[in-house]
Amino acid sequence: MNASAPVVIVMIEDDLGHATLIEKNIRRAGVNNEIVGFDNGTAAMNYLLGPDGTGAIHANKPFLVLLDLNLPDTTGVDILTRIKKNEHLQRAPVVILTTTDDKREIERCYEQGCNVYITKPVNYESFAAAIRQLGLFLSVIQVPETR
Amino acid sequence: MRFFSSGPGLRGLLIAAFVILAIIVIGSIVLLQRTRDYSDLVIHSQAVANRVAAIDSLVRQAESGQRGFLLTQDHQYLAPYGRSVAQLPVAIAQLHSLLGDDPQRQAMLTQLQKMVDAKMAELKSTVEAQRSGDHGKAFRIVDTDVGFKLMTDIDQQTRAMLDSIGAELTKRTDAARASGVWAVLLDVVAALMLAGVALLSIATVSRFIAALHGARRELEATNENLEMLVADRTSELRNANEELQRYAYIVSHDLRSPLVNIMGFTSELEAVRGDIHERIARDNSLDAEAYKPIDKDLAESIGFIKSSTSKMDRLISAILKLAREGRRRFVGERLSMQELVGSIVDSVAHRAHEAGTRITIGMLPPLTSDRTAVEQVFSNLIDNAVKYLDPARPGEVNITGREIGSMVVYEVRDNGRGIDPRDHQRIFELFRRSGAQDVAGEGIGLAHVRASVRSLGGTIALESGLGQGALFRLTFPKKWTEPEEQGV
Repeated sequence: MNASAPVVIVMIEDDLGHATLIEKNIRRAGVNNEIVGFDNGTAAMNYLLGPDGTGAIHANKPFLVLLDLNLPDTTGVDILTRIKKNEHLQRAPVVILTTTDDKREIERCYEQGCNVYITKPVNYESFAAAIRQLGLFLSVIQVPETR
Repeated sequence: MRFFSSGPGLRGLLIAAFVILAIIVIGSIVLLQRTRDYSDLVIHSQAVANRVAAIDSLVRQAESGQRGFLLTQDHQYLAPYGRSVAQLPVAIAQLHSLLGDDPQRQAMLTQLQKMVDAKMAELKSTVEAQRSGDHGKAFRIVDTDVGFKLMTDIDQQTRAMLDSIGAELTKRTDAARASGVWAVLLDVVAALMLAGVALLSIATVSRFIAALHGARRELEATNENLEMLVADRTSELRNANEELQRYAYIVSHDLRSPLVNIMGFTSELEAVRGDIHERIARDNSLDAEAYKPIDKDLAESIGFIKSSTSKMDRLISAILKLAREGRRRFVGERLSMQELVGSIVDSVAHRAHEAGTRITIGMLPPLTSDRTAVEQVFSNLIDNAVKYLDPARPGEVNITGREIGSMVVYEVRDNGRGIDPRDHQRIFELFRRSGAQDVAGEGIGLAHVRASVRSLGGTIALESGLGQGALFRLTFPKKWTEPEEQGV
């Protein structure tokens, strides 16, 4: 794989409004990367792991995962754990985006290997600012070399 | 009480025993007296019989003395005769007095006395004749057989009297014996009755004791049940409380999600409004003046939506904070309340100084409790005291403490605007405030204080009236201990 492959943003967010707001702000930040959205965990995992369920389909493909913790079918922490345990996906940075600001929840996510934890503030300006930070984050993502 | 209602009752038994004892005592005394009376009578009868026999014997002695003298002319034989002559009147007089008012026997005695007198007269006449040396006359008197007949009469009379007395004696002896038998019978019957009462008493007492034992066992069982019930209720309450906290947490948490959308899209709308504004300004074909009122309405609506959503966010955050506080584990540590309250007062000192408020701290006994929770409680109360002043006078806040047994009492007193007694309960509820709403606040502080104080095993009380300042009295156990975890 070559290092110039664009980073695909996988957004797992069941609230369509949130998804729209996130996408709007990402675009506003000048990020034009492809965004693949899912509104439930099952569909997202099916996509990530591919038809064979191993994740080999996306080996060495650069991903950024935007993950909401409250999903209808599974918990975000569960998805995070599965991504971080998969040998092909574990290097993809995972950004948790959620309404929860519970300390224990945050700790749990970091323990499971989450890279950034962003609380969705009701204050829109800070929300927008937080999303825009992602643009900077995207630019420093290092795509791993082939093993 | 129901132990006493069954059976004859201990009191009844005791009374019965006393009555029986009284009967025994009185009956025994009466029967003893009667026996003694009968014995006296028996002795009396015997004395009478002896006297009667003695009279007969004296007469016979006199007669035999007379005979001896007549036959031998020896004066020596006259000795018994002389004794009889001397003793007979005495014996008869004694018998008379012995017989008392017994008319029948007195009459018999009188008859006997006559016979004796006649006999003694006959004897005397023969003895006189003999003494004067007239043998013939003496023997003639004897030959008349008058003396013999008189003697026979005397014997008969004596026998009749003795028989009558003997019959009486038998009767009296029988009566005395009967009286004795009655006494024994009374004693035996009474003893049996007493034994019966004793047995009944024992039965009653054992029944009573058995009932007591039963009652005690029942009580123990009830107690055990009660303890189990209390444990059950406690765990139910704890579960309900946890449920409630989870519920508050989930609700407030999930409410945030739509709020993010409302807020976000309101901002988007605002952005669109800006876009429209720009477009109109650039495009001269559109009437900018006509758009202005529409734009004003838009701005107003968006403003209301924004302020409401941010208020809603603050409320939800407050509930979340409370719910999270309830889930937090307390850690007991020894707190120097002097230092703890001192640093809280320092943090509001600037604000207080500007408002001309004086804060004094008295002696505060130390406390073993959760530092964060205690800090929050005092910081809320002191903050309120400094916040709600009465503009009519310079503020004064006073924090004091004292120990009462195993509890510690702290008081935060101010001379501020006070709280209407009608609101004393309300102000501890979430989002509720009292008095003029001229100071910013969400109505969270006191709800939080009460929740914390309760979690620390304490109580909070309020004394206040409008315009009279307020006194918050906190009571904590000296040493906070973690409630036992059980049945979860």
